[in-house]
Amino acid sequence: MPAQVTMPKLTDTMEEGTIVRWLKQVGDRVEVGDILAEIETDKADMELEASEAGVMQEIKVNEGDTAPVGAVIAVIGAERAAKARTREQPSPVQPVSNSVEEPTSPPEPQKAKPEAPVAKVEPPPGSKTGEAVLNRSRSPEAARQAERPAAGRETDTALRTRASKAAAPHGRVELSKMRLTIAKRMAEAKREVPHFYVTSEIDMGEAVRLRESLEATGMLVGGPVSVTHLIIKAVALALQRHPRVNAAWDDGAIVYSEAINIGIATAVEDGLLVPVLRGCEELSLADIASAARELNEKAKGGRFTSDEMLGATFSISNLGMLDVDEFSAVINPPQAAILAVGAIKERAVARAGQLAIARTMRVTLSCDHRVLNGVEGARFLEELKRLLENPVALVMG
Amino acid sequence: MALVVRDLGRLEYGRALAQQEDCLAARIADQIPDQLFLVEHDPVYTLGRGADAAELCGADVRLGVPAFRVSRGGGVTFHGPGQLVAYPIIKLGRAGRDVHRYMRQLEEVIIRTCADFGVAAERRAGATGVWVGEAKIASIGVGVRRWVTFHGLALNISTDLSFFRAIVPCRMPALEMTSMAELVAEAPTLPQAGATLSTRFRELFEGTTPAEVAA
Repeated sequence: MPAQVTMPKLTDTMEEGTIVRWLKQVGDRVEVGDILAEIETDKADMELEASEAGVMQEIKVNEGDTAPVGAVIAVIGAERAAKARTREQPSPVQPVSNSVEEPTSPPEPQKAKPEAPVAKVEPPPGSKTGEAVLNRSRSPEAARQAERPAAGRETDTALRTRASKAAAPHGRVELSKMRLTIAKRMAEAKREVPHFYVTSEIDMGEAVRLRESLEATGMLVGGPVSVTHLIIKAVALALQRHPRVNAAWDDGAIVYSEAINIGIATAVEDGLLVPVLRGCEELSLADIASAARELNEKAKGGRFTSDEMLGATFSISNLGMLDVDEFSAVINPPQAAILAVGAIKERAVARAGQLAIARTMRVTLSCDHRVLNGVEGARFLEELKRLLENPVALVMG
Repeated sequence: MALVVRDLGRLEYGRALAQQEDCLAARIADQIPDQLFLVEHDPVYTLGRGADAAELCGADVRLGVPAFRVSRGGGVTFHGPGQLVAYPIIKLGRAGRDVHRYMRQLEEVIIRTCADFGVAAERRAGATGVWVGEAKIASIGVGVRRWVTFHGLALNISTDLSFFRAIVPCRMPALEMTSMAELVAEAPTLPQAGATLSTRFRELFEGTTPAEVAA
């Protein structure tokens, strides 16, 4: 016999409540204690729990509608009901207009981030974060508000400046554990490791064309292959051919690794993480793309396991998305080297005595001079350049 | 069970919200006693579940201020520096399972706190919140999960009120907001206001008289 769910009396004086959100839809399974809906009364938002188990059969009062205390708002049946609708399960959503540092992304010109995702995006009940704000439609009151005379109202620019100033760090800020660790390691690296730097300018025209062709095949399952993925694959191949670079300093000895585990430096809210793509020697370009995408998602959600953070034999740091020409990165000890990647830019180049325009990218390899000498670093970089300028090699297995 | 006052200092909204959620879960499971969070946020707009996003009037985009939609009642509001925000995470016991009464109590706490600093504030029938004349000095927006409260109140001490003028606050287009700084010569600092608010809160919710509360 189906159970009726009625508008609860949440307070002595309550006469009616508004259904603000249904957390169960028609066809969803309901267990005792599950939250059915959020009900608003005055300025309080209450969660209504199910006292019976079953399947949601009917919703009688829709979101946004009000019903008196005691009115039937839903019916829960014993077994099967209408066909269950699929709902999207989003990952935790960050506020839309906050400026968050992007984790490594392809060194191509970035489009402005599109505002506001789709309707119907809901975090699961009890989720950690609030939801980004949706839709920009104007209600009549809002329109009237906006039409108020400008005199006496601050300009948006002034307010905008104050908002960003207010949100800026100020005073003395103690470091979080993550930042403290980064600080210690960086200081140690600079102090202990004799760095030298080798720079190369790579013509990325073919690589970009390859990426576009791959996208045009329509065969990319799971997501697009970015230029960053091409770079990671090229680094992996170059390391296979120059195993001396895939090495670590160990107190008077050098440890060479069979496995190629590439750390991808990723900016997160509180600092820097370097999650590791393991076993790159066995990964195809497609494998690398999907693994890198996954790591990126996890970085955004702060969800790494310690396994994913250890064991890198080489690192890549990419500031290309910030329009940087070139830079030198600090080595992550005990690794022998780190590759710093700049932006792909149109530059004037000389070819056979003629001026031409090419899309080039500058990379800088920082090397530990105890492990590598100049020639070894330069040869590795030369290999990397050759692979990226003839990128069809990257697609072979 | 004694109330624990947790001063989060200045904390970005999303991170404070995560702490609320953690505490809420622990309080529901009776792992911790009632909590009172005190916090000052970086500029942020928040919306209740039932709020109309149009009442933001695009302020979040124009001003570069983040916006969050959260599980509390009420419309759109602003939090920012100079505003004392308090999140009581308390279990409404058998005798107190009345959310409207809870909100009246929150109003009382704010009214007493204002009085301590020379501001004569009052409640207004049919308009939850705390008022000084025609202007609103404090807003209330509450969430309840398994009869444990979260979210709470925001009291303007020296808040930059222009951020309210950019939106339709609390579903009231003609609403004027005010702050202590507008009403008294010497507004308290946020820590001072926080200390007073938590004393008044304990007084009302734990039944301690001022004389019994430690300095």
